Amino acid sequence: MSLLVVAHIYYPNDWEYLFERLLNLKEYPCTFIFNIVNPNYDKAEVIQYIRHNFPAAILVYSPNHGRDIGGKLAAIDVALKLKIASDYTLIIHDKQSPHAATGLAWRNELFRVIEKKELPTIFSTFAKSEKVGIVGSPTFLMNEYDFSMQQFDSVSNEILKELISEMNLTMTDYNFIAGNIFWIRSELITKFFSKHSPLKIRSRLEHGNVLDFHKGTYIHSWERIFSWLANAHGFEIAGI
Amino acid sequence: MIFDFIFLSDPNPGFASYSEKGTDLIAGYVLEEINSQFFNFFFDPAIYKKEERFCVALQSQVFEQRPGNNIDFFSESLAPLLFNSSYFTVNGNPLIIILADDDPGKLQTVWEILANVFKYLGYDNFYYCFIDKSASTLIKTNMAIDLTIYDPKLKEHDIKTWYSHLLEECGISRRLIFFFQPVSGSPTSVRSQLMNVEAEFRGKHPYVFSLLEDGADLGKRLEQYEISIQGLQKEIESRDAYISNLNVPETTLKRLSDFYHNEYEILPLWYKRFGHLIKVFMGKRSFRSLFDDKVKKYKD
Repeated sequence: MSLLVVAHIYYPNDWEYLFERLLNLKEYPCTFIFNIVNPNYDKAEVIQYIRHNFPAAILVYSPNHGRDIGGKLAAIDVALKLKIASDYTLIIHDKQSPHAATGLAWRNELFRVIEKKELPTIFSTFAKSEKVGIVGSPTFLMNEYDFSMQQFDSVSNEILKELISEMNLTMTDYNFIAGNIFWIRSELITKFFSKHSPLKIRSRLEHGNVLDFHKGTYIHSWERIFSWLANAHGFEIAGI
Repeated sequence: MIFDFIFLSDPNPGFASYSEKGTDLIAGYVLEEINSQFFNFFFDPAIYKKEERFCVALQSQVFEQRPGNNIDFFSESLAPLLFNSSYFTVNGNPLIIILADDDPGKLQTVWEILANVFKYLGYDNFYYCFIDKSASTLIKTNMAIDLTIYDPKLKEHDIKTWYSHLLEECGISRRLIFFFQPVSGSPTSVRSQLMNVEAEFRGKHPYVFSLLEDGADLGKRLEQYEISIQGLQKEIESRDAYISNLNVPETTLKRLSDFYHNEYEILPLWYKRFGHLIKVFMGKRSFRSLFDDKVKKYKD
């Protein structure tokens, strides 16, 4: 079994919480790709930590575009072009959600996917059921689709429909893990993003720190589509 | 060495010549086309794990070979290089070199492609240097740094003489030197010759040399301040965006407050009090806190 970690690092503080847990993955054959925003501005400490603790890691310095989704797409593009093979990919970022009063509790729950005690269960869940495409925290498993209205209860409804049609996605359910942190079978990433360029998708994402309170965004739409890759390819989402 | 040197090298007889270690020259890969050799070299995990700085110098004909959707092609091809942590940047922005003929029409076309590629990749800024490939002179740049170009094929002086003169005449400022690979001479041997010149100069003019070092150091500190200013501006923009969102009714703070009100606050007082007793029975709240506000209320 080989693993790939696609991690987006934006915040200059509180990164230890994520990295202390990522160290758990060093027990496995694992390639780490860290996409780091503003590396020369406020990331000297975290870069030093990575170089010391993850010496074989691939560091990607892409500009801050499309928030964590843009950073993850840049890292996925590098993984595909460098032909890094793996069975399971961890999609993660240094989530803080300063706009949300419950942001840290949300992060802590999502980060259960890198807790040492959870890892064997996660990998055996994939191994036991070939139908499982994604494993993540069930607490934030959400579904905004109203089948009777044929639309999403989301400000991004129009964009979501546009992208589903454009990407030719067919789903039986629209469950997604809010927060975009989970393990996914790498073949789903490879299959989808070999057809749809991650950079092209990224180029259409919004610039800057965009929130989706008022109007829909491509960033928040892609947050949902990442999870739908499982269902669109005939797989399921399993909780831990 | 005092200055940043970009060692511009022809790719022939192969990319392997760039892998020499132990030099602090910045590798400037001169590329005539984007082909399988390019992809094999740059799309390799090994180049991501090296920490030696590099950048690319594209021959202008690279842009003429790709009719049709140039932007997609160049963005897809160049992204893994530009995103590489070792790619050379100035003020945090990547530098790309174009070796071209001094033809304003063609230069404009190339510039437009580059501007679109960097925009596609999400960059706010990038630096370019157009260098006349036959005369090895600067055509145009958007960098506010002193630039020097040295091509041994076109200069009457050898490396040592040229560099001695430069040290004597260059003044105190940050300087970037584009150094074309000599017919014979590896990056290591070139660096060794440059270091010898600096050592000789230091021996002859210790105070001037010290000033040159201070000037170069100051330039690098200014660069870091420039990066900090850009970073702080982005931080302010980001915080402003969050603050503006706190004031709208759809925010999670408002949702949280509504949730608290609907799920708890509207309950009758006797029911809420009963809930506190349940908390005590469950061991979540201390018994004494029911009667005394000064004791610790919750155990966690």
